[in-house]
Amino acid sequence: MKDFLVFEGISKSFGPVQVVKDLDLSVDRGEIFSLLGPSGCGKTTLLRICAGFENPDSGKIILNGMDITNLPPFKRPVNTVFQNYALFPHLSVRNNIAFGLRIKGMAKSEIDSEVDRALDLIQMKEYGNSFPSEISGGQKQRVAIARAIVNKPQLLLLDEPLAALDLKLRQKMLLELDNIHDEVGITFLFVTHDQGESMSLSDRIAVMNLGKIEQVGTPAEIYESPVSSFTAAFIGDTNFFEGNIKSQTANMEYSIIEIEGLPDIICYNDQKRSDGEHIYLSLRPEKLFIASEKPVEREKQNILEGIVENRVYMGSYTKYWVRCGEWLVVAMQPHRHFLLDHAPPVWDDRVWLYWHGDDGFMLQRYREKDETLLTIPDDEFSDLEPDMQPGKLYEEMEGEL
Amino acid sequence: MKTGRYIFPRIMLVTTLLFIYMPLLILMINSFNGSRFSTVWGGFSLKWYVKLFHDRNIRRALVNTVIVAASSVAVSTVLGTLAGVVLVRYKSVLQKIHHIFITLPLIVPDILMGISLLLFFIAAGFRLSLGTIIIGHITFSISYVAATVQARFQDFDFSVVEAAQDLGADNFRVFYKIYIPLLSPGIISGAMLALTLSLDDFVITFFTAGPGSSTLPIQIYSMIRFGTPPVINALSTIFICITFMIVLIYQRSKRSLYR
Amino acid sequence: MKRSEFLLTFPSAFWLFLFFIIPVGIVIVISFRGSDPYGGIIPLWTAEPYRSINFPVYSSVLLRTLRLSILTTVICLLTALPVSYAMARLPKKLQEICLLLLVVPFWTNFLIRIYAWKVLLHPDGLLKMLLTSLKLVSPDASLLYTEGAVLMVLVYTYLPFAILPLYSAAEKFDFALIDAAKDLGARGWQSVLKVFIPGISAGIISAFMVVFIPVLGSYIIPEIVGGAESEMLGNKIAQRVFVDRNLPRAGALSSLLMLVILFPSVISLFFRRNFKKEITV
Repeated sequence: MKDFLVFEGISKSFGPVQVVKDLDLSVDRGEIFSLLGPSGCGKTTLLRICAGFENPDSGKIILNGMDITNLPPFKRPVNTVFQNYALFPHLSVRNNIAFGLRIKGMAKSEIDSEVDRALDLIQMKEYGNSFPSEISGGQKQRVAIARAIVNKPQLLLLDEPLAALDLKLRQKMLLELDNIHDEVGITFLFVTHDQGESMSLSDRIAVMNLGKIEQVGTPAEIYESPVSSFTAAFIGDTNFFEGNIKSQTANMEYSIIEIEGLPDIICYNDQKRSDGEHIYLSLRPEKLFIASEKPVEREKQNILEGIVENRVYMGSYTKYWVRCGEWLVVAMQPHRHFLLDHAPPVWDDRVWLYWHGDDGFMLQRYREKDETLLTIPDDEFSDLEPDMQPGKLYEEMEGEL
Repeated sequence: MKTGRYIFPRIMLVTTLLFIYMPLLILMINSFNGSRFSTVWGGFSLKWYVKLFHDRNIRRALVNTVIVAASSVAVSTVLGTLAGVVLVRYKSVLQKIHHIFITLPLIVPDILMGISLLLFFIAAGFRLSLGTIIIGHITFSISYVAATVQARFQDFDFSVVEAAQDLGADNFRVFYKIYIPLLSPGIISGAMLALTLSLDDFVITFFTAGPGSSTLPIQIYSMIRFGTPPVINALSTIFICITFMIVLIYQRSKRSLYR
Repeated sequence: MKRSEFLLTFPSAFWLFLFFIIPVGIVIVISFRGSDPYGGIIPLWTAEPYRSINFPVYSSVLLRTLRLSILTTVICLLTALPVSYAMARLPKKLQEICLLLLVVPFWTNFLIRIYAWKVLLHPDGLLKMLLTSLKLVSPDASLLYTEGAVLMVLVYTYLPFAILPLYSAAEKFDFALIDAAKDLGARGWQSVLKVFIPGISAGIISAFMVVFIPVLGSYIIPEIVGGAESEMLGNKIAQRVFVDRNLPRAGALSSLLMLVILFPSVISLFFRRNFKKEITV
């Protein structure tokens, strides 16, 4: 069913900071939908509005055709898995799971069988009488999920449910979450700042930034065809080029782009941009091939010549920063063969980068600030992990308010 | 050796502990001393204990102490818990004033509180009695209970409240299913604190007590000034033992709370 | 919403207003009233009770009160610092035991602890015997009823109150910082002075507050182990109430004590605010 959960014009401010800005969103029944964005982008606030812990300043939330905007949290057919799990420390695992059913006034025998089923589902039968302080992080997380889904909510909200777990456990829980979703068939609305998590789990993703939705789509759509510099840079890595459209190919399918200091570049034009338009081009590093000898020229193929400025060995691939004129271009070279038999390019080597015109895309929106999300080395010895997030400031302010 | 560097602080720690226990130990040993004089060992004897149990003044003071403690703990625990909860839950001008009211009694010395209550009772025409003592004890206990309950809130995970609401609990259910059980350790230790303060207080009691309403500390005071020291030794020993027992039990019960 | 807040706040706020704020006001009012020789209060306004403070007896008492309070606070803090440092570096289990050992004696009655010292310092007491046999004091010197005895018992009584806030600050202190300071070339004592002490400054301020202010108002300790020559302000207040029942003068002395207490409170408030600013920036 389409439009199972609909946000209409939702806005929310904390003091002077507008955290969610006139936001519209629609989620289908039964899907795993995730809100992805850096901390402070408003995704958690949106989730809390959905659960009823915050009231929007304006806008409506409609769940299954019913307006739930003004319903208190305890009357909504919605349950939440909290980021820190929020298990009741004074109740055993069993009693934690039974909490919602008891409130509903369900018969004791029925509660027992429901709780048993839930414990079975999360494979924690033998832990029923343990207390939250006695079980591990992953187990707590499963209890939190069980506690929510025994109530058979129409919608399950998950607030960074895997953030507190270590990498290996996170991957395991990801698969389990998927299985649980298949089994119970509830709609999942999932909030995360981890692109890997949302990519692997979601049917659809809404990328959020600064209180707005940047793009909604399937994981592949979001990755392969980002509409904005933010989506392109936040999900995966990319190269940005700035230039003007010089001309179009005969069938108008491709544009020839003029970029300062580089040869003309051919790029697929799906947005019917016209000549002379100022555009930004995004190019994923893994779409680039790198060669030590000049490749043969082909139709619709772009070739850039440059000098290797930096390279980092990453195990399954090597990342190169290549200086092409004024541009520093990132390229990823997967290791398909036994690496030690080859002589891959090293610092100061002359190399050629080439890619097909279909593999670049012109962005609809570009903000210079998004470049801080990219891995650009300051110099040869800079640390290459980007940990700067543009929304950081808002997160801090949100926390204070 | 790594420990060598911390040798001075450790010596200070051990010395301090000795310093704290030495007078009490001497007191306890002396309570079994047959001689009146602490420097002469007159053989092991329980005669001071026997004397203690036949002292009618002490028995009456004990009853008074229990009445004062029970009523002041009951009232101040309720008032203090309420105060602690509202101080955390609401942030308004009213709470700022409330907060000042709660904090001031914590820093004002006993003697000031004692004399101000005494002058108040005289001005208001109250007859000094057990009742005025109880009022005094409630007044200084409220702040301590409130502070303890507030401290309990400090590591209180408010997402648990949201979780309960999320699972369908209305405000009333949140209160008795979440707040009360989770705050109960704070409320209990607040009440325990109020109890020890009430049992311990001398100065404020002394100022607000009327004739015939002496409590145990006042009785001990008059014994120190005018009475028979070895009986106090016996009484003190019993006091110390009871205190240690209460602490031990409390410690045990605290440990088993969340397992 | 607002109504429920008011209803929940009312009981405790009203109680404290009636039995704490008003009484303090009454003390100040009565301190400006006249007195008759029979313990009554004459309803006329006068500054006589304050003028009486001008007597030389009071100025020496006030000086002694300040002297004893400062000395007690300094000794307590200097002892509590290494003790809390040592405790915070012990294994968790031992820390708990130490804390309990420190606190439990202080749950026994206050008067009993003072009495224990009276026994110890008594002319026939153990300490006297020990010190005379070591030829440290002459046989006719008195340990009891001196200013030294008062100081001793004050330190004994308030030491745990100094240790507790310092320990709780030290317990949260990251001792890796001391290693870092040493790594950067600081000697042991330098690292303590420049890293540990600033790190627990909030604890030092509260330790100061919980020792200095109650000692300023102490009354029963000098009453039991002190003599006429070691009286403090609190004794004078009690004497005006219980000996010659001059309530206006008692009120005036109490107001003076309040004034004295105001100073350290304001100072510590100032420090605390500065401290807060420092850690939030």
